[in-house]
Amino acid sequence: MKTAPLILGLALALSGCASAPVAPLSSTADVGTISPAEKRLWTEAMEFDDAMARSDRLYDDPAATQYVQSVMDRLYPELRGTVRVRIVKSPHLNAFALPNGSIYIHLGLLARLENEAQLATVLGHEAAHFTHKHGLRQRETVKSASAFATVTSVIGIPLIDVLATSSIYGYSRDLEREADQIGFERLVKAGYAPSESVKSFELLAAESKALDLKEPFFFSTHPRMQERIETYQELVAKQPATGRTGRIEFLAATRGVRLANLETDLSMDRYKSIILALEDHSRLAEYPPEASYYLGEALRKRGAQGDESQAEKAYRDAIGKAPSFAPSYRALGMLYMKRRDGTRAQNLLGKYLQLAPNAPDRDYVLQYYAELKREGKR
Amino acid sequence: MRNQIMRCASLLAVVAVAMAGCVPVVWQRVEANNRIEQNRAFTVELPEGWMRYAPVNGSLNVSTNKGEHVVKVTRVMITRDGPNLQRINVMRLDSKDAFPRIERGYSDGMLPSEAAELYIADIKATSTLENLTVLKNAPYSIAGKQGFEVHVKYKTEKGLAYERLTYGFGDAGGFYLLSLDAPSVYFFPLHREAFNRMVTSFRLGTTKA
Amino acid sequence: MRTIIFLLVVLGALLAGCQTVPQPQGLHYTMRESPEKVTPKTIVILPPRVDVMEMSAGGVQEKVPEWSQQASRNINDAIGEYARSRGTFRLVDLPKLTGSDLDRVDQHRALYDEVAWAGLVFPHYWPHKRERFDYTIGSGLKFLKQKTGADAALIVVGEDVVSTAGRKAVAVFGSILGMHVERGHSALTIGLVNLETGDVLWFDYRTSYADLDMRDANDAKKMVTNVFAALPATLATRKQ
Repeated sequence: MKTAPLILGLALALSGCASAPVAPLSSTADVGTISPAEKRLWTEAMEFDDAMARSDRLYDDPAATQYVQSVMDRLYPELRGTVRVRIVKSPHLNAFALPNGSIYIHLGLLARLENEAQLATVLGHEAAHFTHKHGLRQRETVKSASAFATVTSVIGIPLIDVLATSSIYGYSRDLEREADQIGFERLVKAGYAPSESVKSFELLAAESKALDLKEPFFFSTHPRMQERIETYQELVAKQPATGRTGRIEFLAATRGVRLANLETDLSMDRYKSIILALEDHSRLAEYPPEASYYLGEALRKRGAQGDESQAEKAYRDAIGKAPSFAPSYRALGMLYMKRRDGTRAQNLLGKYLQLAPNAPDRDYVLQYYAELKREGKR
Repeated sequence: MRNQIMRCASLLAVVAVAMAGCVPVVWQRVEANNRIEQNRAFTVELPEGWMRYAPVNGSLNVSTNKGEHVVKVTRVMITRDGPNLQRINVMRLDSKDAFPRIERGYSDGMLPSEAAELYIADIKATSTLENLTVLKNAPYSIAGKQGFEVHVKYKTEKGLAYERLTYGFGDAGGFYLLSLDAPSVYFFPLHREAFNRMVTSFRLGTTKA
Repeated sequence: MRTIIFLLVVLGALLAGCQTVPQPQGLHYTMRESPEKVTPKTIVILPPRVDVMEMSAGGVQEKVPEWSQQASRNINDAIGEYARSRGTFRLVDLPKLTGSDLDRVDQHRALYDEVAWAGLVFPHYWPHKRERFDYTIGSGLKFLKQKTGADAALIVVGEDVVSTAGRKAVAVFGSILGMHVERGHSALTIGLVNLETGDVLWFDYRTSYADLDMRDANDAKKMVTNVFAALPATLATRKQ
């Protein structure tokens, strides 16, 4: 007789979790009537919010945050003030919802999307986990510390077991499907183009595959990814094709986000991500002019055949379009330094020091500049 | 009473075995007669009164996005009160393993600023250090080699602030790192001088005596 | 603190049978060599932090905020009563702190966690640390001396895991089948830190599997009495 399944079965039977119906939230007023069990989750979630606010992990751009919040408020106007969106300073493709209505979206994910409709797909889905209390409904069946550790390892702040059932780990298939359905309904009701919902999944699936990502990300595991794409395709097929994408508003509002994410990717040597984002010239055009510098740096780091000359081209492009952006001069100067073209290198490094006298890497550049000067005198 | 003693002894043995995964067992106190650490890779003077951990197997387990992997390393680690309160690491890795978490190597001709850039990316690849602050990143000369000095600050999951000061350089197929990690409060400023004396004493190693 | 609590629970369970006279986990060498000089007269208590978790039938633990507040209050009261009735010291409460003062206390509390962990583990392996326990958190909390008139601070952390009726039933069923099913435990650690030097003058812990529940004032008193059983004589007038 296998005793472990018996114990588990008894545990589940006694847990009282099995089939109690849970009413979704329909307005902010419903928040006042939540059960004691929900209150516990809420309190834990608030502690997590406090920890995030005290940490260095939130992306500090009020305009971008306000924009993302406005998209959420358009989807769930009745929950304005309750569902709050914050941006996490992390390059990972991730978003998650807490049982108190806090929604976190990572810079990496936000930077990869193409338009407001795709953003609305992500936000609509996440908020559905909150409105339909998926955290509470999955509470008793949450996995053990391995899931908890997974969440901690991504964001570096501990979450207790029950809160670990965010979209990082993944809810049950049924709950995910429910969130897809509800999020999609909200997307359509708010007037967004339904077809963009499928594109957002396809975009992220392609990126994960290209980068061979094993990290946890918004859409959980690959097999589920395909299933989710198919779910959305079915939903889209039942809708008229019209709706707004909000591309122009999105690109304008997330300009700083995309640049910040390039900087983060570069500092973490994630050059493949940068190349993937920028090698398509039409996508490069959506970024601020400084982005060419990041493309140059990513190509330099990749160092494949032909990358050095492409990097040179990218640095020159950045200098041409953003002449007061100092790092481009340093990058091009160092390229010439390695080619032993001392005169050009010295001129460019000198320009860098002029534009950025307090640059954090000033000491390196001064040293290189001095060496070039000494060599020039020989 | 005898049964009680036996029980205590076996319990303590169980504790020791249980703790083996948490606390290394190869510890040696640094005294006047053994304060020179000399191996094939480097020679360095250790501060007296500290505890030295020199593992028998020269390897390091590293977690990456693609799973765990093991790199070969020549290393000495010292601490005074416990590695979570202060630890100084001196190590040599093969150039190809210089930045194990991002799976990139050091190559001859790499500028110190480029090596520093990869070093910072490597430590950021540990998720709790993703949001570290770089306090200083500047050229530094160690044992006559051009390298870098990188000083960072980060917080643990429990919110305690730590600092790490690292000196690094590459030479002849190897990459060398000397670092001090300690909580910002009290411990880091306390040990900085001892660490700097160690760095000053560092020499590239000769054949082990 | 969860890591240290977990470790303490494991060690406590394993070593519970070994001790006939309570010995503290850590006693600073100055408390041994010159207790009259270093024993504090006035102690400020940092608000105890006791997490009470409810363990469901399925083994999932969930923190219950109102229970945690109740347990923290009970422990605070129990320590106060101990100080009044048996201690040689006067206990004062921490005034409300804000801004950088609050940050400093938070950082030092987090540092104490790390120091206590090291103080628990490494003296077992290093004889010189056993013979001369000298762990410290540094003098960063000295400002509290001026604010409160205290010589030392008490740092109190605890955890209580309370089983639901369902979990208890599962435990009974499990034991019938010869399986151990964790029902819950209580653990309390208290550290005394000199505010001038940061020296960890004394620290100890106790665990209990005997269904002690720190939400109950009497049980909280029992836990505190257990921990303070290892208090040096200079701090306790009499032991039970």
